[in-house]
Amino acid sequence: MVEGEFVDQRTPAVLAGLGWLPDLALTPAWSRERPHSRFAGRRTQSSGPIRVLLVEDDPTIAEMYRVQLDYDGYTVTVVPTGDAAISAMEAAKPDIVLLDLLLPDRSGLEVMVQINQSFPDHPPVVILSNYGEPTMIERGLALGAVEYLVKSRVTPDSVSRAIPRWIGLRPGGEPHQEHRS
Amino acid sequence: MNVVLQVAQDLTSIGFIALGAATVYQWYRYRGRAQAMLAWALGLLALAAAIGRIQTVTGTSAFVSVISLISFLGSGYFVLMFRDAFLPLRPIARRAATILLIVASALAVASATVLAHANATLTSGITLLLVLAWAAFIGEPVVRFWVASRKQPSVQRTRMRALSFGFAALVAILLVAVLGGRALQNPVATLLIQLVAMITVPLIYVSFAPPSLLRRIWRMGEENKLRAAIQDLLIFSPGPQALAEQAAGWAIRMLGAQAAFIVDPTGKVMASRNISVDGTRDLLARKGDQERGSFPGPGGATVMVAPLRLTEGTGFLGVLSGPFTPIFGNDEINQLEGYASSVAAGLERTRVTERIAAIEKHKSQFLNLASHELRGPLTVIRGYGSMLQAGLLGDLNDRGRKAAPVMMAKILEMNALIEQMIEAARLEDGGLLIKPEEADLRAIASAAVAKLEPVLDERHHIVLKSPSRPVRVMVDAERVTTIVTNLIDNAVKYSPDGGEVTVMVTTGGGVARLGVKDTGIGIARDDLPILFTRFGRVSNSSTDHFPGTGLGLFLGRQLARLQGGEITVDSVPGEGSTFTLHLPIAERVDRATVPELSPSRLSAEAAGLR
Repeated sequence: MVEGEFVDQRTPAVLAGLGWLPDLALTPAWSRERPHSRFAGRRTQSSGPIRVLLVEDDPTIAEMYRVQLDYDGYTVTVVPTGDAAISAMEAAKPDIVLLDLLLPDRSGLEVMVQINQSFPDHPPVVILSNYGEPTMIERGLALGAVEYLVKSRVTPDSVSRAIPRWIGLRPGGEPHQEHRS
Repeated sequence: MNVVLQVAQDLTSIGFIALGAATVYQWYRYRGRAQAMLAWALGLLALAAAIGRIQTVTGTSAFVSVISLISFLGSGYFVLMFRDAFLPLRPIARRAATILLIVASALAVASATVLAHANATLTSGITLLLVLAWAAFIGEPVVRFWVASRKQPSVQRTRMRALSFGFAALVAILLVAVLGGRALQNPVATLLIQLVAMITVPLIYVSFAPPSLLRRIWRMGEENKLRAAIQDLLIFSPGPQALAEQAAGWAIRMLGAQAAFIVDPTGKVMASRNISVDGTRDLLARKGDQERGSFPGPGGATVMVAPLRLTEGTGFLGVLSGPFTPIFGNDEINQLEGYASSVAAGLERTRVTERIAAIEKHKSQFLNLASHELRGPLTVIRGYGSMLQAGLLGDLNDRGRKAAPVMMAKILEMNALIEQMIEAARLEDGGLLIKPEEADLRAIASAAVAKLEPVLDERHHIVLKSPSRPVRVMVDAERVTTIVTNLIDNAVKYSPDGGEVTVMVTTGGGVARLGVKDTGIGIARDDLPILFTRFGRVSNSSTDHFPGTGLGLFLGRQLARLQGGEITVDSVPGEGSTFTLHLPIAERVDRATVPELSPSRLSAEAAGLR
């Protein structure tokens, strides 16, 4: 996968990573079934809805994701900085972390390093960035992110739908990690 | 036999007399100390030879003998002085030479007058001494010229060697003749000696006045090198600085100069070879107002300059003469001026190249930055757009439901354009990674078709023709799919009236081909070259309403080339176009060595990501 692009599972497998063509295979959204709490209803090891920690400094994007994730029944904590993210790891006990790379206090990659050090059993981290340089992607994945997504190529809806699957891909335990290293 | 010998001796004498006359004429024409010394040397040798011939006819007189002997000794002394004009001797050596000349001359006078009737042993002893003195005078320059010729440009090298060899032969002849004594009295030996002496005449002649034909022949190898060097300067030089330094080096070789320098229009010394920057400034201070020509430099050297005409003003290319430099005459100034204009052209070109490279870099950075900055807002527009369309932000009425997909389609189109721009910028930065794996081109073709088929309107349809056997290629399947999808997308886009798009996979000659043939508007022959350039869209009234950045084919071809392939086009306006992707067929890999499924593929599939 060239850019670690998140791929809609309905598209042909070989198209994974298609970068610059219109996502023509997108099915009209209203034709999809959309029950409330359709994904987040699934329980994780702790009881209650899935908790998502969104590390995003752009309030517009943060709000947009919050609307979608709330709608889908997740419990969302939004923090705008790397420091706040580290504190929230403890306080919010997230089941998954959605991590931006360009944060006001430090780079998201540094946050990942810190998470790896302080929380060896941390939940899966998905990088959500505006940068799609191959080197950035490689570094992000090497640090243990389960996925690296370029924000403009995904929608909150597609990210929301993929969360349960990512939670199943905890770092370390899954073969999925092998082809990233 | 005697007649032949007589003729040979006459010819040799005439040869030396002509040689002497020629050097005197050269001196008369060009002046200069070196020319004068050479004229003295060969003129006196000619005089000695002439007197020798006359004596055989008229008989000997003491006075004539003295003149002859002193001329002979003088010819040797002036060869040494000729060398002194090139490479100054140490004062003590010069004084010793002068003393030797005086002593030898006195001996010569004595032997011809007071000792004329002394015993034969004494006379021949004196003769031997005189010849040895003469040989000493000449021997030193012979060796010196030979040694110094090694690093000279070809013409100077050949001239110095001819001179060295010619005089060496003369020394050899005289030593053999004097030491040989009786053994050489027989006519054959004398004739041989005469022949060798005759050969030295043209050798010495070409050393100081080589005909242009000979010069051209000697120079040929070097001129080829010079031509290659100038071409090199003009085309491949990495930058102005490197070019200036190389150019100075070649100026030295071309003119046999001691040093060379290049000064830019602001007076800054760009390059200086064998001379310091300060030394160059001193030379320029002597130059005065003249743009071209020569003027005296330090220590009797000559400086020659030619203008270097650049856009921002006139600089200078200059050379400084050294001990072995031939005269800086009009020919050399013209030569230097011609060379300077080549160097100026080269300098201009490197500057233009540097400027273009800087512009390219800025443009690339701009493209990169702009496209990344566009991603931010687009993320929000796309996100909310999809949520709006999904009804997540409230129910849409019928009109809203019609508008939402149109808006989304346009957003995706814009997204694709931005991604193309980023990809193009990345391609130029070299940040694009290709991961080749063995793939079946048929599968790629059908995947691309499968991706596009659902979105075709009913007027277009795609026909896929593939061979029954796998077409194995070593490629980055995702990149190739992107290329193929783009080709098919173009074929549909440029067939506005609908029609069939044929996708054909073929093989032959070690090449796998994937052709995409449409029956659309086609492309005029003149427009074909710009198709694959960046932003190269064929623009006219019939194409202006087709959306696109013009990056698709540029990226496609670049991606194909990165994988050892190529994209070609064949088109007839009004009838349609065929774009063909060529890829090298992968070497057949032994099945046994390839695991059925690689771990990475297995895990990727387990992860549901493929």
